[in-house]
Amino acid sequence: MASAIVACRGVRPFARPLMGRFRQGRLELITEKRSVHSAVALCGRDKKSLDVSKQLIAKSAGLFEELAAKRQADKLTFRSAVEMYVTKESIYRRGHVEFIYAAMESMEKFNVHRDLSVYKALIEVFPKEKLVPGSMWQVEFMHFPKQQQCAIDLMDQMEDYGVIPDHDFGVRLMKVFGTDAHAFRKYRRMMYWMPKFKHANPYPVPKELPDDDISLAILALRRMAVDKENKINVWNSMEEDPEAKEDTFIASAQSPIQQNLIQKHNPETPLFVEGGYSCWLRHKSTMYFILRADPDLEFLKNLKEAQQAIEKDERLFEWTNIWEEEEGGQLVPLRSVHEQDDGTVLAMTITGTDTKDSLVTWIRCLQKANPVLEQIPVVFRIRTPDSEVQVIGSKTPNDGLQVLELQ
Amino acid sequence: MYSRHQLTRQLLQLARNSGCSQNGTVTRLRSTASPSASQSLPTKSQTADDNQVPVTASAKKPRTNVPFAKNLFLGTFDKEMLVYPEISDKEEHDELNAMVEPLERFFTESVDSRAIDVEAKIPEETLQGLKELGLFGQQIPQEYGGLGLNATKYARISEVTALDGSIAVTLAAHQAIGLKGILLAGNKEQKEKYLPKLATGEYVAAFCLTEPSSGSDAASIQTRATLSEDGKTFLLNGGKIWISNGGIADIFTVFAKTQVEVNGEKKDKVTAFIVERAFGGVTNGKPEDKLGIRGSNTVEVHFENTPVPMENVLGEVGSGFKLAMNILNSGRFSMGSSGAGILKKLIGWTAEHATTRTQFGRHLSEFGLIQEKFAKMAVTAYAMESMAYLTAGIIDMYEEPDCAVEAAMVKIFSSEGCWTCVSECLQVLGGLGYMKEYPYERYLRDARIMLIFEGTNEILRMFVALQGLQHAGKQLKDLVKKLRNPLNNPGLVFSTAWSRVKSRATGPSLNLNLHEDLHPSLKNEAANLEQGVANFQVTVEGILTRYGNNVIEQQLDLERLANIVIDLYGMTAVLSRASRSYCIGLRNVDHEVMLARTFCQEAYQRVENNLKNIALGPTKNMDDNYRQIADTIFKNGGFAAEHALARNW
Repeated sequence: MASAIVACRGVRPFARPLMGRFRQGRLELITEKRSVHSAVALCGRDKKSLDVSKQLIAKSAGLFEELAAKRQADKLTFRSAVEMYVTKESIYRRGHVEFIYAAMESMEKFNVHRDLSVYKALIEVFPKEKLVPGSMWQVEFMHFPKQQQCAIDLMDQMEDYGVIPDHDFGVRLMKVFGTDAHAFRKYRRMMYWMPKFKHANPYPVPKELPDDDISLAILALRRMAVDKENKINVWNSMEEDPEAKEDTFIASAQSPIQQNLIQKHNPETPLFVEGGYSCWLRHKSTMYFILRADPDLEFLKNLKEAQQAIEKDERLFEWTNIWEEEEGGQLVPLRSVHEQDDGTVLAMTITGTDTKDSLVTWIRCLQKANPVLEQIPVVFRIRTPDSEVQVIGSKTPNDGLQVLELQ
Repeated sequence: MYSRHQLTRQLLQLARNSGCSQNGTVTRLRSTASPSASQSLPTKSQTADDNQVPVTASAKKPRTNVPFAKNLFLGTFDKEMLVYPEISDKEEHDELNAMVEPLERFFTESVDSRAIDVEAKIPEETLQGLKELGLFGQQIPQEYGGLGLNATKYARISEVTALDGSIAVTLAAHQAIGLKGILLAGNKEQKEKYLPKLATGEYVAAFCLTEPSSGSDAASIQTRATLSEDGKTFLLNGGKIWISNGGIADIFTVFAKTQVEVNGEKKDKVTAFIVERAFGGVTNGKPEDKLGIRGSNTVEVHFENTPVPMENVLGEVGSGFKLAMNILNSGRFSMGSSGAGILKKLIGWTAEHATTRTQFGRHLSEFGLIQEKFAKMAVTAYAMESMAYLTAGIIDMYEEPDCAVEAAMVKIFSSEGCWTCVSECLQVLGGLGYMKEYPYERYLRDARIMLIFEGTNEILRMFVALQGLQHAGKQLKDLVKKLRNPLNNPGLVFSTAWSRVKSRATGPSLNLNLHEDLHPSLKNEAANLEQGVANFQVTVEGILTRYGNNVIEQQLDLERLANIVIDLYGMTAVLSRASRSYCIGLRNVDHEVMLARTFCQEAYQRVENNLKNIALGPTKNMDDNYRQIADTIFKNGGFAAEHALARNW
């Protein structure tokens, strides 16, 4: 099979006839979803066969629903449903295409939609050797279009869920369609591209997000924190702050450099708690808040001047070196990643309730590691979902979370 | 050519007989005595006037020298460096040898290095023996009860004391850094009070600079000294780590921050103090368990409200940083001779093994791969030794020698040479070398510290390159400024570009005529050195023009510059030494010339390679790759490539 992967580089990719993502209303949409080939084929058929097809799908879907009701909706049940079909239709495999569509539809319910072995089992549902094209013409004109399209749709679903097929999958597919069919070409393209994209994200998010909010908050903070030294603390508001008004968690990220910046902050000028800003992890969003200081204009001015001086070659080669002068070394004052032009970020938090009360508790928690913070006024500039948020769209993704966007 | 050879020899003879020096100064025989050489001295105008004092009348040393290595960055070559220094007084020379002899006996008979290593302690009687030999006061003037050795003699003694790493470090911590502050900056009272007892070893000294938060970055220390209200004592608070001799020392040179008023502004500056353990509040931790030099006492030292009287401030209040740097700079040169001392011993032992051990029916010494190892080790040791004594010679010739850069180069070259060569010796022994029964593994472990302490080699490379570049930059400032602004100075830029194009075809013009000052048999190598110096100068000018002030951020190019200048210095040292040896006809002098030639050819190859890489720029010499690879590793928190057996589906 390795040679197949190599060979597929030479294969001219061809556009999928009808691009489409299927999630809901699968049963109704099937006919539209098919490729041009199957659509053409369907045109030639009578209405009766279409009805039969619909009936078969409904019947197969019934099988899954029935089993799910009887037993648990898990992998074992799903596999046994497939086995039941194969045993029953061991010779003729009547309605196997409809069965596969019905199976694909219920995969997510059984939580097997990311499981390669289940997709392999579904490939096994196709009859062996019957569908292999015998000539070049058959290859090009989509031999057994309905079956091939079904296999391609199956692989499409795999692609959507990020399931990468393996060689074993290819062997099974080859036994059904041969190495030249469109379905097999689809497999080759998948094997070429999918592994390449698998690790494309330099900041990967786990496929399965943790359910509990604290882990999710830690995950989000860790993803956003650029400073390698960043430390994430999780406090319970009631335990940490006797004056806390609500019982929630506070996940806070701060690095030693940021602590140092607070230490150096002029207590005359206030700090700001700002937010909430939204942070998306796959389909889940969380609100985060930052502790921010206004930019140190003096420092930025010095920085800019030093940079300009270098560009203009003022005082060329007059640097003091670290072996001769105690305060030598830097041409340009060092600037940490936290000191940006529009402000200095001093800490970041995600709380369980996103309320002002929880943020007050957060500041009290921070005061333990940053005693100076007690002397610095902190201004809360918060926009939470329940205050000034406008809902601008009500796309409802799978988990029903509303998409909120701040004004 | 032959006549010149004879002439040199005669001159050398003449000078040797007539030259006498006082106070143990080492003099270099001046090649300018040769009429042919004096005509071709382009650097002569730049040499300090007081350099011209004839050898015979050198009662008082000239104040300072024209820096050699720094001037290489300008393409200026001080041909006096091609006259290898020697101890011109025969008696003094014999005296030194007489001093070395019992020392060697002591080290072979009374020092059990293996036991010191295993027990991680130097026995009391061994220390007592060292004290009796006067080794604790080598550089302390005779008037204070020390041996009053100059740098050359100190280097010679170091060769012997280096045979045991732990002892060498104990001695070095005591006098190369521990009490050096008193020698360099102490006033008369301080010297009178402390030096006699330190010279006898009654008091042991330690140097307290390193702190948990400040290793190479000496200016960032946290230890504080606060002046009491009556203004008579400082209260010292803070912790120092990895202090050699910290557990056994009675006198500490401590660096701490004090508040100083500079132009009406209060600032924290480093001040040096002489602290006696008897002042109170000085505690130390357990000896650290180390990889090598296990017998040396390395501990944490804590100061808690230690009262230090005002008169124990070394130098001025607030001048401690410069003193610390001076102490460190002045101690480094001896590492060259120490390394050479170790290597010469090890090469001897290993050669004995190679000539007796038989494999496949032949002695190891008959195999080409083994021969290559020995040759390379000998070349390295020769260069190391030559550089060390050349540097020591400069130090001894001047009141305030400017050779911190040279000393750093000696340290870099010898520590790395020592590490690789000891490793090669061990390799020749094979499995035997790996066993604790043989001393090789101990020497290997001991040698490892040389790359780290007294300034890591990385820091020192930056030091060498930046000191040189700054020296060159100050002189070339106007030129570079114009070259960096081509639109306003088209004529200059064009003529410079034209001369570069011309020199690319023919090479930069060579007018140093170095071979005139060397024995003719080293003519080719002299030409290599000259070529190297000329090409180096062009590159330095190019780098300054390309980067301007930003040059200090180009660490990889700086490293290359440092490596080049180390090689050039090494070539200078071996050539002048081999030439001298050849002229005066030392034993095995053909071998010396061969070593010198080999070193020069190897070094020239390295120089060429480094110059080529600098010219290629970061995208082609892989510097960009290194940066990107490192970025990824730091981002991923470690080795970022997937496992070799990883599958993606």
